[in-house]
Amino acid sequence: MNKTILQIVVICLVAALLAVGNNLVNSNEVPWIGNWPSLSDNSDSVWVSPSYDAKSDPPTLRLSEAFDRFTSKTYLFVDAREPEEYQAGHIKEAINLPFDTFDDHWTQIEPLLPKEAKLVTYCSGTECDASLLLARLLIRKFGYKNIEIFFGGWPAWNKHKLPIDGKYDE
Amino acid sequence: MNRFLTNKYLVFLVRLAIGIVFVYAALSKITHPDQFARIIYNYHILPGGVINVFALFLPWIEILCGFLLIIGFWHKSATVILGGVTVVFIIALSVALFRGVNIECGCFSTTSKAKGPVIDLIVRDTVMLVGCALILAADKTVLALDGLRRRL
Repeated sequence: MNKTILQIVVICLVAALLAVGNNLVNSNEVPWIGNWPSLSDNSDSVWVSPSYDAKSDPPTLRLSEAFDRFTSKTYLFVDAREPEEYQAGHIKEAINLPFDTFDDHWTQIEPLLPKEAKLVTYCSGTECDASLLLARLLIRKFGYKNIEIFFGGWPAWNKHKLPIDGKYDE
Repeated sequence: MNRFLTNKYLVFLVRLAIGIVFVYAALSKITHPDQFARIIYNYHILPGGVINVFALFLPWIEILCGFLLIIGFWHKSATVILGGVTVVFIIALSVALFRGVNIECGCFSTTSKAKGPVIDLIVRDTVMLVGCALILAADKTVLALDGLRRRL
């Protein structure tokens, strides 16, 4: 047993030496300590629209919270962007309900959004209010109660390469 | 059945197969640690600070242990390591499956965009793990430097 442990240590040390050597000469070298963005300290995810009213509007989600909702599989994500943007790439299994052309799509989408469903709306991050306006509309006009807004939206989700349908933006 | 499963020729074939799989799997990762690091990041399991260390170190563990399995030198120790690596893969893939993340596996290539069903990858890794268990359970194998060393 001791012999096995010793051999494992030696193998790991040799592998570490080879890794160091290879990274010195490899043209695709990477720094040993990577600077990968963290889900919880993303600046996009704390931005909220200037027209957001914390007292009357639905709660907002940071990126890490939106990802928790996503992995729980008990929330429906609603993409408030235009169909062309949605088709290019969207949060995996999100439903497209464009705010700007809401009336054209609502009868088709309504059966997919039960009144008791827990919804997360999003759009194009700091460039849009559609997620907020859609959430207001669904609450005030259609009686939805469980809605949260993910203001980081598609740009934050895309930046962290979280699960999508379609393609990531470069 | 037990005697069949730990037959020295069968164990040799399993040793060879697992060794070749890991050597092959490591080649692309060694030449493209940058892309392999991005694939690891996409799993969203490891803290950002250790992703590159993992991406640089793991392929060399794979290739070294794979090579040791092929030549049969310290092959039980190499199998213990590769078994541990396979368990880590199974856990990572299971988390991805639970989260509904359709990730690039990063198993054999860092450039392929092909995404197989995660459950298939878990099954494949489980078969590899059973292979590792067979090697560890067996008393003998053939065409191994370990055996030659003992005879000298």
